[in-house]
Amino acid sequence: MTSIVFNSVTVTRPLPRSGLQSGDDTGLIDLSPQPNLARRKSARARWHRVMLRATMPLVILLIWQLASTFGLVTPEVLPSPSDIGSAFAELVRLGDLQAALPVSLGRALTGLAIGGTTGLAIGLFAGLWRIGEGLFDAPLQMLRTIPFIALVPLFITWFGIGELAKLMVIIAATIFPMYLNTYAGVRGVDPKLIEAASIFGLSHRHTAWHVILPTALPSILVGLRYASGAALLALVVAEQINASSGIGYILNNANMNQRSDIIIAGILVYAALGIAIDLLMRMVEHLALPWRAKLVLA
Amino acid sequence: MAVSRRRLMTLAGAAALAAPYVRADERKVRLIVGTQDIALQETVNASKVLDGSPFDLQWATLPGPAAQLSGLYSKAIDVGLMGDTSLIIEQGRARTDWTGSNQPLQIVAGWRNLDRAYPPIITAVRTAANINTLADLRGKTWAFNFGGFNYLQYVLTRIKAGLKVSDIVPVQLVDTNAAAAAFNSGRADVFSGGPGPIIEALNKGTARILIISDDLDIPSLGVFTARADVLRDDAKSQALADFLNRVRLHWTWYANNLGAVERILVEKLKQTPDKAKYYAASGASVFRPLDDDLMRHEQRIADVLFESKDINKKIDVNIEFSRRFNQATVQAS
Repeated sequence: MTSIVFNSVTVTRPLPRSGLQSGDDTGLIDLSPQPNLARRKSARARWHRVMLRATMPLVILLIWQLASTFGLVTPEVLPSPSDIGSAFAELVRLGDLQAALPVSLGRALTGLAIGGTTGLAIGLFAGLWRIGEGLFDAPLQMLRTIPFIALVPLFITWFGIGELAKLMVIIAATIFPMYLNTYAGVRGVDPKLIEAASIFGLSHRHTAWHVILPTALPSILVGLRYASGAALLALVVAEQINASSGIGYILNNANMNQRSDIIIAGILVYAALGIAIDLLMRMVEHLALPWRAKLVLA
Repeated sequence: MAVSRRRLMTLAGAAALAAPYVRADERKVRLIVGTQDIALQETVNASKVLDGSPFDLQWATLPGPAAQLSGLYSKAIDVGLMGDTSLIIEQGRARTDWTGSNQPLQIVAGWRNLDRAYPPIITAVRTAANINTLADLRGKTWAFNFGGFNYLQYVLTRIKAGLKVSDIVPVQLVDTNAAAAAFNSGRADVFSGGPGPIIEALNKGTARILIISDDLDIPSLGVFTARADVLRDDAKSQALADFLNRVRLHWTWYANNLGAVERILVEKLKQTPDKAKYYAASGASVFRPLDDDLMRHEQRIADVLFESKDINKKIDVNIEFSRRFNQATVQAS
């Protein structure tokens, strides 16, 4: 009997006794991967990847804690990880974080839904029609450079001190990434594809629906990812306007009261939300773009 | 769920009975008062002075004087909270000259802690910077923020020290917290602003107070500013007088309940216990009458700001103060 190891597949080939007759009854060779070995190898690889990702943050945390413990970094400059952990626990114990998350996420998602849809609609209009480009592109390119934090007093004047003003800040922050990426995606469609659609006799509507939109979708989804991040960032500004709850409010309040431990705890909450939203967007991307290659070099 | 005729009749009857009360409630005057953080509203609520008030009070938190002024001009709020110099700057920079009949805003009440141990505004120096006299400020890095009486403290300290802007290294930041952060981290040698944000450095001895606002004749009052149309509206004006009277009663409660105030500051504002102790004690205030003596101080400030070119016209501060609420604010002060 000979054993050949080929690309993690062990092929066991009994020595033929006569003609094509192999050692077993069927005479077939099992070339399928051995499930247990493959699963073990895959789990080990995943564990390695997790460890690799976790090592550097853990080392940084350790150095940071040691620097704080030995007084190399004062709490005024940078609170220690344990202080930040206590601040986080304080927010949870008093129920502030639990109260803030639904309020802030509600605001962010509503603003994202309105701003994202508006940006998408304008982006498609400007991308597909010249009149749309003429009407919207130049004004939006000008407006997108305005720092929306500077607009707070104006937003109070225009939209009052209720939820509308807060939503408008988030909408203003989310329109532009969505618009820019949609517009770029639509305009970036390979002309040869449009030419092919024309040769096959597709109408403008069908070309837009079957060729341009699917081709622009990756760029549109990148816009959605940027816009969802912008919606979270805008909360800090929006929740300066007569807010009594929300993550932005917690950060602003901590800033006014010089609680840098709470500020960093709040930033970590933002980071967690950012990761959660990114995972969600990757899932959406995976579902919306099943044909897309998942190519990594190493 | 089936809706029976009997249930409908009961609901209609209940609605009819409740209607007069709902209408009566709708007739209540609504007063929207702006604050820059939730401290005042929390202590006022805790003092229960608003119980049974004949007006409907709504608080609005808008950090910073710019947001308060925007809220007032847009009529989103009726009364705003700011420092007493904010209207000097507003009047001094207004496109149309304010007169006794067209001023859009007026200060209706001002308060502060009268204890010299708790100065509202200070100029502090880092101990390591070796600054012992005002003259030693020359060449030092000085952190302060835009506008308001913190800025005034910086201007008047510098003038008193006989220094020009070019004699120091000014670090003008967006708000007092940013200026304090620069000072606390040792990036600036001098700080002008409220002592709260640097209290830990003062307590530890890494910083010390060089001069306080009282020594520079700065009234440094927290003030309520009302829109002119609110003051013209009899019902709102009456509600405002009632509100100010209740806030005055609240100051009495505040002084007698510093422990409760500290707890509010820790739980609601997330201050550290040490800071809460300081802020609670320093926040114990009384209303100051808006009288001739105060006007003299305010006028001097306006003149200094005009000379330092921070406002571009000479103004009369009297027109930005309304003295008609003195009776409500000063009775027991």
